[in-house]
Order: sequence, then structure tokens, then C-alpha cells
Amino acid sequence: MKNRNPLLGFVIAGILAAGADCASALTISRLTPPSQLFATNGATSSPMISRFIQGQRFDLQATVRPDAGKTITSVEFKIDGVSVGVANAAPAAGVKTSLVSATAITATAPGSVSASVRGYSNLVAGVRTLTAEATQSDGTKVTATGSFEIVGITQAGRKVKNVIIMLGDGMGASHRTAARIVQNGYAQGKANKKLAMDSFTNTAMIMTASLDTQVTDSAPGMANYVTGNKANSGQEGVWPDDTSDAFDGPRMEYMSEFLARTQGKKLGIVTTADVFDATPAANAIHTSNRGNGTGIVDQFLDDSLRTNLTVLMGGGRKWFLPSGTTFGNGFGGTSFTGSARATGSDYTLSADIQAGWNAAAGAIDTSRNLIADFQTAGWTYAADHTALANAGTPAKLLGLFSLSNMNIAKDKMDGRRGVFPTTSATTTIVQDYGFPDQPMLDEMSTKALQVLDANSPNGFVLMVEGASIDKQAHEMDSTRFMVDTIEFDKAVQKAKDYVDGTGDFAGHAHPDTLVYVTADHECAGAAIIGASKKTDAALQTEIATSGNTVSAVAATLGQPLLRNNVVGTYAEAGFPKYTIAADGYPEAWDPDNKLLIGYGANADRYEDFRTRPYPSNDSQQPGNSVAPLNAYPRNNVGDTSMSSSRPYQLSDGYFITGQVPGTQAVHTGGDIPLTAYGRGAGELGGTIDNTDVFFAVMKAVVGGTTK
Amino acid sequence: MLIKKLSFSVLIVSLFLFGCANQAPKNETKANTALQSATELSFREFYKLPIGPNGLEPTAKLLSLKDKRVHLQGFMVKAEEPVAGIFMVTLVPVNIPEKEDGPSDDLPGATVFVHMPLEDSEKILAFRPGAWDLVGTLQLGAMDESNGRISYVRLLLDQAPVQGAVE
Repeated sequence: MKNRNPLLGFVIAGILAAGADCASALTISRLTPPSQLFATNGATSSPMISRFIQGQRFDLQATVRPDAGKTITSVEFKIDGVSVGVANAAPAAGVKTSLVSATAITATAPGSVSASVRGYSNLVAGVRTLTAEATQSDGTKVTATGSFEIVGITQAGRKVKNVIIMLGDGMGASHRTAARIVQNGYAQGKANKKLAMDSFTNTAMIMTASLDTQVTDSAPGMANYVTGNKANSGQEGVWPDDTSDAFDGPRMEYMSEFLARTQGKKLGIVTTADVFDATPAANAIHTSNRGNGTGIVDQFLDDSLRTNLTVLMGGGRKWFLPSGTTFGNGFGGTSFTGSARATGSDYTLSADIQAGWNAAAGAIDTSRNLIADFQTAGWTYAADHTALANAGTPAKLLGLFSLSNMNIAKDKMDGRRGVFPTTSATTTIVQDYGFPDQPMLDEMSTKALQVLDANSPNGFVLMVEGASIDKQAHEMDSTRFMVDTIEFDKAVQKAKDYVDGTGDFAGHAHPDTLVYVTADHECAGAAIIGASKKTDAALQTEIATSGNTVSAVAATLGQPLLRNNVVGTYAEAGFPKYTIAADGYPEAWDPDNKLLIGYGANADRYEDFRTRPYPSNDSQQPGNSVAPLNAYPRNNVGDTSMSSSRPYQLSDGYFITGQVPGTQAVHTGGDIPLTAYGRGAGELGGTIDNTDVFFAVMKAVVGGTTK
Repeated sequence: MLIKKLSFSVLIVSLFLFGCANQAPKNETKANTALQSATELSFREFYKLPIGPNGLEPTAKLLSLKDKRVHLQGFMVKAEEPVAGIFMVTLVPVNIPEKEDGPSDDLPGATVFVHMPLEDSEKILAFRPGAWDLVGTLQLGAMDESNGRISYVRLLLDQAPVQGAVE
């Protein structure tokens, strides 16, 4: 709600009419934390947007646009009418307030400023009123009003000591079901066995929207779970602002930070992606640009005493290697390390953030040898599976198993089995990448739990991400996303074993641990559409015979023969049977009558139903001199007039028109399932928002639970 | 290795095909001449394998070919947001979904950044699947690229790749 003194309400209409785009009207155009009260100018305060548990830190911020030719001299923030800070100067050491240029909008709104109070917290439960009052250089004032809620926590029951978040990136209900069918099979309509994640005792459906869109990306998709608040696309642990600095956004405190600060709990982050990627970073890092890898990985270490980060595992070695000309391998002073460190993705923090959050200053230091710095800080570094297995249970563990994303579970298993991607290949895919000894996610999870268990007398928060469920669903690579889901489920089993004292943790149960399996969003609109009517040999023959040809029969004129002859629906689908090898994964990726997946959020693609040799669809035929198609690839319905002009990409099956533009399937906005196990699992149920999960978990951790 | 199995006879056009598809016989001669003057370099010869704990280590062969003409065979990286003047080539087919994942990617360490000639530096080369034959001058050392990435090995083309006539 905004009003301008002394005209008060009479001016409201004028401000509304002018809107935020007017460069000459004194106004507060953004008030943070976000609230429906502010967004609707007081028309409604529901739903309550920003919520915090008692004592959880967050920043207060306002963007103020002055009248033409004027400047903003100060902004005072009040909670329930009581001043909590006046921002009237540039950031200074030890000062939690700041008044800086709103650099992202000053081109269109000259003189605009961003005023902040950093690291605020409140212990009084209930809805609180936030007021910002800005003073212009001519003495004119403007105010804006918003609200937020402090959620009270009562002390009752037994407290959860450890929290394990199993995050299957992009994993919707169909991804889970597909993994169950492949891994366990069905008999007479019933699953022979549940997945580990199916066996959890409590279930909820999660609404996954972010602050700015119904279809979230992974950054807010993860952050919303562990801050209790909504963030914008691409943003981690911050709300949107109007400055161009990617690391100065108004912060909200993570679960890990809060529990490290108030209870001394440790933090573990494990992923099969690059460790700087959105999901892992959105557990400890504050930035409005999820792509800023250099600054993100630097903050992992620089703030590790504040977050109690104790385990960090995944890919992403390229961010930890020194770049620039000061470090090299003896060749002309140049670097060949493979470092991706760059000035544009590095970070420094202003003094007010340092003061408000006890955060490190940061530095632009592309030549930093971050692996060495981790080791100096007492971390043990494992570069491959063998080193990980031999690492014991060190005080702190860094595992970096590839330059960026780790290879996909299917390709890692092929590497262990010595299976080459094609009959003409002489190396496995993991050998091609130069990382033939990568651990599986369940092996990483066991090690993470062992290290955290040995070093966390007050408990821990561990986030384990199955990253390529999402990445391969984007690629519409059914086999690879299903095998990654199976790999992820094996990691889930390790977490369950930790609770129960079984498997790798036999005899050492940890009943005060809460485990929940969830996803940040669904990816690709994956759907189990049926199964192949063909044996694999017959499918290969069918591909060779039908390829991209279409039916000439009147009843199905123009329809793709490969599709019509292969896809079995309803009764024809039956129950696909995959034989599981001794290593725990399907013996063959393309068994007879294999499971088939459709994609409701697909991009243009070609389908032949067999597993791609490489994690990218490619003809692997000579590419030079191949002409681009002379037209958009045709649909397969009744369009036979272009058959002589090669409307299809050769050798990749038949063309499926995408529902979305671009080359990748996209995330979808449907609810996703969450299952929970252990102490406090009963706090999670019903159809709830992703931010609700934070409050349910924190209630059990901070206040205790009987469920 | 898959690519090595491909016969040169089917590599009709190299980067030194000047002109249109109907000039193929003449250009094939030029291409063969260009290939003969270039040293064969495999992506597996870029760095010591497996990659060590402290990152890439260039091989003596790679270092010896600095500023020399080389012949590479690899796959054009399918970029979601390609930029003008450069494209990436590596030893396996790779997609990089920058819109969703940014620099969290599946690029192998042995990736070459191919730079188009100056006169074509404003062009975006259309993605084509399959194995590409590339001949150019090898440039080494860390460099910021216009796609936001850092390259370590670059191939400077004399002539933009001809993609064949549109059907």
C-alpha cells in the first residue's frame, strides 16, 4: 500500500494511475518481503506471501523512485509502527543499512534507489505490518505498506535431529511409476515390489509455483522448500530487486543457515549435477543469477563456517580450478586446467550484507585454486569413486567427480559394465569424457551420511539431488531419465537405511531423522503411454523398414508407420518385463516389449523408441555438406506431398511436433508427489504449497513432533 | 572409435570447399589438398586421460600443434542459444540447454571452439547432426568467448563450412 504525505489517500489514485513506469513521480515501486497487501495497494492481504519462523533472518528493502530532478535522502523501515532501521548512506563497514542506486532501472527512472535493512528477524508470532517511509531531497515523503507473517512454533513432542531432503529434479508421478515398472515389474496388475520412495509412510501433493510463474525452474523450485518463501525464476535465496548486482539481492535465511546458527547443525549437499547448479546452490547460496558459477562455489567455502557445510559432492570441478595466466602447465603461461572461473560470474558482497549476515566479503579472483583452499580449510578431496571409497570419514568432504555435470546413471553403468555406445566404438562414454571412475548416487549418499553422522553431534541437514532425471527428461531421453530415477531411488534406500539401521547402517538406527522425497517440479509432461508391441529385434527391423515413412492405407493415410506398428496401448501394453542384473540395474536398456513414454511438454523431436547410443540424439553420420531442411519438418498426418524432398531427419525415426518452441522439453506446472519417512513424517500430508513443507519440517525440528 | 570408422570418401566437403554444391569435384580436390597439409588430431589426444584431480593436462602433441594446421573430426555441439561467429565441436554428440541450465553442462573437457573467418564472424552456423570434418589453425590458451564460456583450444577456420545447398 502506498500513499504520499500529506495528501494521503487522495494521492493513491494518482500514484496508481502513474504506475511504476512513471519516471517523475515519487513512489515506492517495490517493497520487500513481497506481500499481496503491497501488490494490491491495500485491497487485500491474502494470500499471505512471505512467512518466516520466529527468528529467521531476512532483508527489508524498498525501491524508491524520486520526482524528476530530486534525490532520495533516506528510507526508514518500521515494523508495526516501530522503526527498525534508517537507510541513508552507502554501505559502510559494520552497518546493516544501505542506500544505493537502483542500477537496473535508473536509465528509465533516474535517481531511483534501493534501500535495505539487512539480516532482520522477528520473534513475535503473527502478521506484522512493514512500512517504508522515503524522504526526498525537498522534504517530500512517500510511504508504502506491506505485511509478512511470523509463524509461531510451539514446543511439543520429540524434535527431529536430522533432515534428509531427497530431491528428484523434475521427478513427477510418471517418472516414479516408470522407474517402478522398469525396476520391479508388475504381476497381474500389482507391482512386484515398491520403490524405496514408495515405501515411505506419508504422502503429500505439492504445488510448485514460484513467485513469478506457475511453471518454476529449479532455483526457486528448490529454494522455496528450504526458505519457506517464494523466489523468482533463476533466483536462489533472494527476492527480486532493482539493482544489477547478482549477489546483492534481498536475502531470506535458508533452513541450513538457520539451523547451523541456532542449533549447530551441519550441512551436506550431494548432487549428480555440477555442484553450482540451481538445486544444490539453492540450499546455501544467495544470488539472483543461478548461472554465476564462480561466485557460487566460492561462497560454498567462504561462508562454510556460517552454513556449517561439511559435505559437498557432485560434478563441477571446472569452477574450482584456477584460471587466467598466472597458473598453467608450463606452456606459455597459459592455463589448460579446464577452469570455467570468470570475472563475470564471480562475487563480492557489499558491507551491509557482510554486517547483516556475517558473510564473507568475497573477491574477484579467477586465479583462485579453490580445491587447494578447501584442503587448506581442512577438507578432504576425492576426485573419483576410488578416492571416495578410500576417504574414510573425514571431518569435511569435497567430492568433484567431473568437470561439470556427472555422467548419467545409464552411461556410468555402461562404463562399469564395459559396454560401448555403438558397435564401432572402442571406448565407453565415461572414458570419452575422461572420468571413467565416477561414483553412483547411492554410493555418494552413503558416504555423505557416514561423514555427517560422524561429525554432527547436533544433527544435520542433507540434500541429495538426482539431477539428471530432469536433464534427461528435458532431452526426452526415456531410458536415461528412468535409469537416473532408479539410481536416485537407490540413494533413497540409503537414507531409509540410515533411519532404520539397516543395509549400510546395520545396527545403527537413527529414528530422530526425517527423510522426505520430493521434486522441485515435473519435467517434460512425461506419461506412461504403453509398451512396444515388438521384441527388440523386431523393433529394429521395424525401424529399418518403416523409418520415417507414412501409411498409404486410406484409413491411416499419412500416419507414421513406425508409431502405428510399435506403440501398444491399453491391453496391448501389458506389463513390460526388465531383467535386473546383479549390479542392480536393468540387464538390457531395450528389452522386448519395452516401456514407452510420451511427453506432453515436448519440443520437436524424432522418435524411434530405442535407447540413444549417446545422451544426445544424433545421426552420427557425416555432417559436412548436409543441407538444412528446406522447410519446417512436416507433420505426419496426411502430408505425403513432400516425400521426395526429404522432409525428415534421416535415421532418427518419425517426427513429432512439439508443444513448445525450442529444442528441449520444458518443466510443467502440475503438482508433484512428496513422500516422507521417519520422525515428523506425519507433519507432511494433503495438498500443500512447497513453502508449507518448510514450516512443517521446521516445526518438527525446532518445536518437536508427535507424528 | 566411431568417427575413425567413417570413410574419408564420404566426407565430401571440408572447410575448404569454396562455392556451391554443384562445384563438388573441383572443391573435393581442394579439400584433399587442405587435408594433406594438416596434421591429424584426435580429441582424445588433447589431454591426458583420465582427467586428473587438478583438471586438464595438455598432451605434448596438442602443445606441439600450436598455431599449426590440423584436421579434427567431431560433433557440433547443439547449442540452444548459438552465437555468431563460433561453434563448439567435441568428440561425442552433446546438447547444451543453456536456457535451463546455463553453464551446468555435459561438455567434455576436450571441446574445441571453432572460430569462423572474419568475413563470416557475424553468421550463426545452423546446427547439423553428424560427424564434422574440420581443418584450420590450432590456437591454444585460455580465452573468454562470446558465448560466455572459456576456451582452451580453438580452431581458426580459413573458410566458413559449406552446409550444402538447401533442397
